[in-house]
Amino acid sequence: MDYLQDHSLYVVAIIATVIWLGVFIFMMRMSNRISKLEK
Amino acid sequence: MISPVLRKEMRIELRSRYGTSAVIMFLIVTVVTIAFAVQEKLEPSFMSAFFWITIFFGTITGLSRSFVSEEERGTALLLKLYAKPESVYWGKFIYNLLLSLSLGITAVLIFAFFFKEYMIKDFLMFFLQLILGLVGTAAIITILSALVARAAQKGALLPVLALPLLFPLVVAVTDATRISMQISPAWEGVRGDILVLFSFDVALILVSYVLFSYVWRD
Amino acid sequence: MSIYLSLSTPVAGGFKDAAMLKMLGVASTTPVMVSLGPAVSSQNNSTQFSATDRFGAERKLFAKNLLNLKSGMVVVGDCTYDAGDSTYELTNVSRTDPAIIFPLVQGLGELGRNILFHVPMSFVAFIAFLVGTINSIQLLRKNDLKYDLRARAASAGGLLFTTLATITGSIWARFSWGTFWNWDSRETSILVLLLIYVAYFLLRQLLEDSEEKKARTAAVYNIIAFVTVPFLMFILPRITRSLHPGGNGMEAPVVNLSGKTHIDPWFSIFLWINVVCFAILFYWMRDLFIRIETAHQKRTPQYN
Repeated sequence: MDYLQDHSLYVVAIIATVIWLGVFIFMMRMSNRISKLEK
Repeated sequence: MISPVLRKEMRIELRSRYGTSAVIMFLIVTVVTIAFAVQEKLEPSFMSAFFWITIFFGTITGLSRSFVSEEERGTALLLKLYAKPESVYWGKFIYNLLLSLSLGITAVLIFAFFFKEYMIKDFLMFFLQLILGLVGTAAIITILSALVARAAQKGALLPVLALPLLFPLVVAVTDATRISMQISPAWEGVRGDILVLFSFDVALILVSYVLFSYVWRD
Repeated sequence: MSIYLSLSTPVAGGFKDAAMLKMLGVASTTPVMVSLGPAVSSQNNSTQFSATDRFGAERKLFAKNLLNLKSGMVVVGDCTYDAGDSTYELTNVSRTDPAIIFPLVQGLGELGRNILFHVPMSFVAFIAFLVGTINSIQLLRKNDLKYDLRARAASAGGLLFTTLATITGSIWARFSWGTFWNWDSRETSILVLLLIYVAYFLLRQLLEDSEEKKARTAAVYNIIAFVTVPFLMFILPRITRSLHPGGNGMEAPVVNLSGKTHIDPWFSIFLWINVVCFAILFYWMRDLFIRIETAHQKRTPQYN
């Protein structure tokens, strides 16, 4: 736990990265599905 | 071309007195409710907040029917054939403005009668911001009531649309009213408010005038 | 990339910050950046350097058990100030020779990074509402329903970014002002902005008319709504009391009349990079929204 306390910035960075990756993957998938629909 | 629309509105109002009597009742009921709900001495900030809340809801109830009634009576089409959109807009706006000004004056009288704390210290300042505030309110409600005339649940929709849009006006006007009721009102304090009110009113009237024909024509 | 740098770039101040924060009892250690000068004295694991901070202030700096420090290095680390004998001590080193650093804003510390997300989000929200309004004007001029779809997409994006700015702002407010919501003038006006644009979609749904008339009415509302946006976003927060910078008649840090930027240059660069990134993200979302709606309308021809 001490490690987490001292490096809380990295924890924040990891959570933020996960959220952003989630958003990007979601949008990519949406984009692909729409492309299929448009055909 | 403006005056026939205005005259028609006046005549209908004088015949039915729907708007004025309902609004005056509304004002009295609200003031009595406030007086019973608040037992303590009211500071100028509370007084100005209550005053403007009463005015806003009063004008929304009073002015909301201007276009809805045309749709309900089926006279909208006739008005579209008979008058140009601009003259309909100015006629309705001036009528709404007169109605809201008289409502404002009535509210001032009722408040002054019922609350001993309602003491205006600087009359010029008070009436300047009152008139600017009422002009803005009338402008917003005129164009919004034209927008919602053909929507479902008009009664609930109009306040929902109007109150957030009125927010810049609410901030400026409550601040100016509070200052005009303070023991020594300072003009420096209200200069920003008056400027906001004035620019907001001018912007709104111009934009609604330009856009009205798009809402009005089919 | 920019997000990574926004999060990982160290925040560091100078000796004055360390002394002041200690005296105020805010923090016992403060991140500072110093360039180490010649070692003055050295005895059992403790070296005393003559160090210069970012602002050119030169102080004596002790470093205990930090053996790999040499004079000539630029280090970022935690510094404590001893008010008793007015000495500074470096307790740990987090980075040496950093390429870029962010300034320490007193009272914000690491929380200051949030500026790089919170502020670009509200900028992009404004851009989105502007785009939506331009589309609405185009709809009224050209009477083409595709502009209605575009206006809706842009306003939806604006609504999303306003919500995000509100969320990041209230989390930030929890940690620097104590509560999630303070009825600060900017908080209030952004809430009102949210209500205005939620009302736009409500109006669009409740209209009972031909598709063209509905589009026109919604466009008119959108334009009127945008008339209030400058008042809500720029004017009211500047003339009323506010916890945000720029209230109380002070000059705002970024958008102001004199055209100057009152923030650190590196910080400003990242701020604008993030604005561009969020703007691209907004554009992508808008594009997706339009495509989804178009596909939806094609598949269900009876759709209104």
